[in-house]
Amino acid sequence: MKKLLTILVAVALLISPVFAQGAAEKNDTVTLTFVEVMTSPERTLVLEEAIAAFEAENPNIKIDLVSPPYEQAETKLASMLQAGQDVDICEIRDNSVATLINAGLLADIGSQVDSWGAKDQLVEAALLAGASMGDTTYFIPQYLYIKGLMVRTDILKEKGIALPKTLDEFYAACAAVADPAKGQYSLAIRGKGTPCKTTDIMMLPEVANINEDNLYFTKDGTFYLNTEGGKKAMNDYLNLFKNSSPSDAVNWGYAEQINGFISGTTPFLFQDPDAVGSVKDALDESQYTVIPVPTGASGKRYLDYGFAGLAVAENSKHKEEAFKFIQYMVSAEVNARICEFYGALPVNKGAYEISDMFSMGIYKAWSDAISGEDTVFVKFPLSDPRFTEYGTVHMNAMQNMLLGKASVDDTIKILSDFWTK
Amino acid sequence: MKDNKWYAVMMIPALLFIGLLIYFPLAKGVQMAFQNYNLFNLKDIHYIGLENFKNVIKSTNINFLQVLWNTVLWVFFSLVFQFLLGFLLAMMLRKPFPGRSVYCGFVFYTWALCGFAIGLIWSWLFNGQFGVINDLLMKAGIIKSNIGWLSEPKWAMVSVVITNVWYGVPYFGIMLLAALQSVPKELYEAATIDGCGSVQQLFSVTIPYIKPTIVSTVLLRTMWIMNFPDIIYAMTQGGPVNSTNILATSMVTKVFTEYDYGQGSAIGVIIMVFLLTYSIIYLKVMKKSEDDL
Repeated sequence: MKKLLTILVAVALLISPVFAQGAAEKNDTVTLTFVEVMTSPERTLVLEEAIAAFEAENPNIKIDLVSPPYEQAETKLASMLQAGQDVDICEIRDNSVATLINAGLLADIGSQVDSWGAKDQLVEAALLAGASMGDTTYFIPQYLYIKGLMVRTDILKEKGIALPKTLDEFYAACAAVADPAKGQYSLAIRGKGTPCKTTDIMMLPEVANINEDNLYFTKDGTFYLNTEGGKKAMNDYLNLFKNSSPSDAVNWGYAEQINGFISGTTPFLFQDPDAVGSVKDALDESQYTVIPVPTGASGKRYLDYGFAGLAVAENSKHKEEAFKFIQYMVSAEVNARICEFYGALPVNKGAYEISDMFSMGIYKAWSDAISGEDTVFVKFPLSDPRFTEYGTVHMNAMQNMLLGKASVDDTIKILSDFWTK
Repeated sequence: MKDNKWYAVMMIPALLFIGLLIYFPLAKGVQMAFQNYNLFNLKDIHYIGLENFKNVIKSTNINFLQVLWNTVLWVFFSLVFQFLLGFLLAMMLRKPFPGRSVYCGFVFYTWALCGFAIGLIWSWLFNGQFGVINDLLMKAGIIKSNIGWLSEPKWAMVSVVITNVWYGVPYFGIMLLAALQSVPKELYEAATIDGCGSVQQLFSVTIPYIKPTIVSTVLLRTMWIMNFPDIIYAMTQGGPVNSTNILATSMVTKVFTEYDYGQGSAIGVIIMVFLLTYSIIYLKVMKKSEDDL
């Protein structure tokens, strides 16, 4: 009898998960796997908070957040998708999203985006970013990175220098503020880590008729630096480095740029809005501001809309629920909350109304630039496989020029040959 | 016979483990080196013969010869200074003194740090504008203006090698200390009776006795240094203008920045061939010198 009882208990224990599973299925609980790629411990906490609120609103959907370490996150996501692992929602970035699309790993969410009414809810740049990979919609941007010119107003005021509106005014201001003998320089130039994303935005305004689909060419197919304006822009940049930028900046990445700005050594900085997150704790708001990127001889500023977004995996068995979660993540309140923490610009129009942070103060420059008539949004050729290699080719060529080992013309030739041969 | 079968069955889990976790990824890496394997076009993976190797060697952007030379400089100077300083450290710690274990803990802790973090810390120390090193040298009156340690090609390699030496000294320290402590005291006593001075004792007793440890640690460390992109990647990303770009960093750039797994794997295979050749020659030379003794 005792033996029989033991067997019964054992059998009951063994089959209980089956019943539990059955019960779960009966409740229609769906578990979605969400892989983030811009991982940081603080940001993961904000995401977890948003996920908890979503799960409370949708008791039938559970979200499993996977947070690979930042450095390997994108390759980890690609290999998970490639291996057919259960991934439903993926965070994607402008630089690498084309690799996932080309491999057929992301689902077409065009019809869901249309029926959701994205056009009414998202800002123009977000719509452009969402459409930046061809006719099919594979993702919804979640944050935007649009370059602005950060300025240490306290240092400029002390020297009686006005905020520049054009590139010529900007270079004049740089010359006026710099006093290298006293350790005072002008611009925190970007020497390593895809510097093209900064130098191009600085140089493009000197050239008219930039092709909006590929900022490296004018509308008549000329490589943009192979124009008179382009050569002037390169020369101006080199002179700025020689006369008023720390020579060490050849090796400066993001952290050194921020340090130069905070310390006041380099009171000008071209950066994305998330840099405000790094600066705001060290500087008082009265010490700095952000102004739109100066316009050049073309009368325009050409800005790219860097972005990170959310996509549904092609292999997902729960595409509808996954899209529901994405919709929730870019809803005005959640979008505002995450961007306030992160510093990047929200995509949802409502987020700008809800959050004071994005409608006033230092963020005003970005909202002005987004809606300004002299702003033209342009695209880096993100879906061109050569673009990833261009980052290192450009970095080497520019470092060579700044170190005085190559002329402006030779440097332009290297860059031009890369794209045209 | 029955026993042999049983042994073979018992070995299956271990063989499976080694096969799946070591030889499969290795074979996959070698296979990818001969394929067009780019994340941008995963739908079109096909064999392209030696194309990846040709592209890597001919690339004007990577400048393969310079990368090879940089790799030699990086491995040679890192290894020599790590070994000499590590040996010196082990000799100094050989005899007991009060608080030796605590002192050892402090000295050896750098070995426990992550290479990337070390690179970030030292990139601030070597920063030409805000760095402590320039500041100290100025205050000591050794230099009059800032040196661009990481922005001038002639100093960049020196800076990353110094960082790597700082990181790797404890490894030799630990390994050689353990070996030194195993040298029997009687040998030194006999050498003293025979009239050996301390220098002669070092070369005739100590070094021959710990030679097996020296051979294996130098061999292992050479491989690790050659395969170690962390410090350089964090400090200079191989720049300025390729001046610190070694095979391992160019492989990382190919895979993580350019998403070209094919060319990245080709560089990996080149590293493997170099290390294999080096290991065979090194072990043969060491064996010959042992036989000559």
